[in-house]
Amino acid sequence: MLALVIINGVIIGSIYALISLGFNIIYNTTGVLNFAQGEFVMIGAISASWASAHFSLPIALLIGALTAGAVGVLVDVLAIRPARKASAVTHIIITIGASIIIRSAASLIWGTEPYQLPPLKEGSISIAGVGIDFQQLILIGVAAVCMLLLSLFFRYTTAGRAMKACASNSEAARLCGVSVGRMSAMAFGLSAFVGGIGGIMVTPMISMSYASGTSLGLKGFAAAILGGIGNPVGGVIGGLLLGVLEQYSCLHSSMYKDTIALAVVVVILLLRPRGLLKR
Amino acid sequence: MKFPQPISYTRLYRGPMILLLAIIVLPLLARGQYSYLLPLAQLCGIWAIVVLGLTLLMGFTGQVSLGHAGWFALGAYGAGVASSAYHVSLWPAMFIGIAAGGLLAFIAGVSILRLKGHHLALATLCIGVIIYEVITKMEITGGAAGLNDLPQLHFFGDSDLSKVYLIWFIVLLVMIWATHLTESPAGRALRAIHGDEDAAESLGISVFSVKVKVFVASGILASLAGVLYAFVYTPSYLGPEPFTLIFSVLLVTMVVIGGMGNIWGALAGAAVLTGMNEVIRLVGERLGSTQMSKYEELISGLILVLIMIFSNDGLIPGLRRIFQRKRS
Repeated sequence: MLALVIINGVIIGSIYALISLGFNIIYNTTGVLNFAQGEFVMIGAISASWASAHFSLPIALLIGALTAGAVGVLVDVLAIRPARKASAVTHIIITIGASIIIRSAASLIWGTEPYQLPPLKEGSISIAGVGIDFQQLILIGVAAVCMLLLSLFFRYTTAGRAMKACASNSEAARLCGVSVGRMSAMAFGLSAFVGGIGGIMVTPMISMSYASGTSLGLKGFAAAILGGIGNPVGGVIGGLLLGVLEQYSCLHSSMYKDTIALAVVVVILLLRPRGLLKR
Repeated sequence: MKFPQPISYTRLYRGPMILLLAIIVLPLLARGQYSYLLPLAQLCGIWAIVVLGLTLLMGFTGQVSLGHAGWFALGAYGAGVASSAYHVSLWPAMFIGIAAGGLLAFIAGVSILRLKGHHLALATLCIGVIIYEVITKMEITGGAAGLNDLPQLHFFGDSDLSKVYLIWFIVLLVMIWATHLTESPAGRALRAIHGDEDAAESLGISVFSVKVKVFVASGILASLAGVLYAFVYTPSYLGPEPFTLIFSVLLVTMVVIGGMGNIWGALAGAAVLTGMNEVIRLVGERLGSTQMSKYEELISGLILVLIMIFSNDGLIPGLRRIFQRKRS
């Protein structure tokens, strides 16, 4: 039973982890808490589903992730850049506004009915007595690869280092020749791209409609804060923890699934007031 | 050295006087084909009460809450359940609703207000969602089906117009209280906490207890609004739909859109978010478009973003700047 809880928790948790990673990419570059993160996930999933009717599956998935990335860049250029100097709360409200725009635009373009993608590989295997679909394994694998690539990107590439520089001191970064605006656009694009991948990976399991992004985004937000905002590793741990907590409370009472999980989150916050991994 | 001087009563009551005038005159204009605006005005007033409390908490004291839909729900359901399941009469039921909100705000405040910034936001978010989920799953609240036929609070009849007057009269009282508070030493203590908690503490302000007090006050105001929602706005049916996390986010949006730390901003924020869709629809009708309702949400999102881009600190401070520029 415990194995089931942990495996299912890790599966659902790795999608939260990917979304929280998106939060942290943007936060670590621009200091903006992006409440449109869930909408990026939704855009990736729905545009890939739409494209899969016209193109072969791999191309459709690429189109989905790229569309999400493009929407992310647009959010930065059109909404965040004109208010660069505003306060953090203003940025939050702008991203909430952006999420409303993206949601309603998606419902106008793709309608309100839910979309679903075919799984990348049918069938399942059994691990520790628990049946796991290949698609779920792929989701975990893709999430892990994304996390690895991103941490390499931030550590070893010039662009990644420049993005980190923007976060620690944007004025100094500018003096060193880093274009803060371009880095911010890149952060939004990258974060939305990662979110889009998350959406694409999860859509064979749960169907996605124009409004599904919001709750996923909030779970990712909870994961990021729980792990300590600005700490990508913490966010990933927070996401996995949240997933396992949800599955665990599901076991005890499917009725109060969120209640138990969120109550535990509050308790963790009280015990570790600065997030899991913050000193 | 300049000490803060108490401002004169004429200045202090200028705002409430303007509001009083608007309350008396504006609803009378909504007649005939425009009478459908009256329920909207009631809703706007109810939201204004929540947003006023939230403005004190967020705008003045700098503590973010993403859970106030929960306190709104507590007020509504506390009063609703008391009267439907335990057959408590109207006034005690209202009191029970408000007391339930206040008590839980106190318990929650004492435990989570040591958290700061994003972490406080997450903790309040969790509590708000927990309240919502418990309400939708419990039997006594009618679950997702909700409660029917609650008693109705009468105030010189039960027409839409008298309901508007009742709700906005309460808004006026809350506004007067809030202006008094913000111009008093206690109000300056709130702003000091917003500025720098450690500095405020060193000035002799008991930061934690002030935070708890203002949290409880905002919780009580939210549950008062909830009681009005249940007993005045929709006595025939009370369901859990309006109390989701989205509504908490919307409330914070109202606070920021109007202008943080600004009493008028709270009213403006509530008015913008209630009135926006209606205005978009009316403008669409004037332009001869029947398709406008499809684009309502899109346009309202655009308006939100544009307001924040053109006036970073909200609507009222932005308007104030424009008027001052004209004057000089």
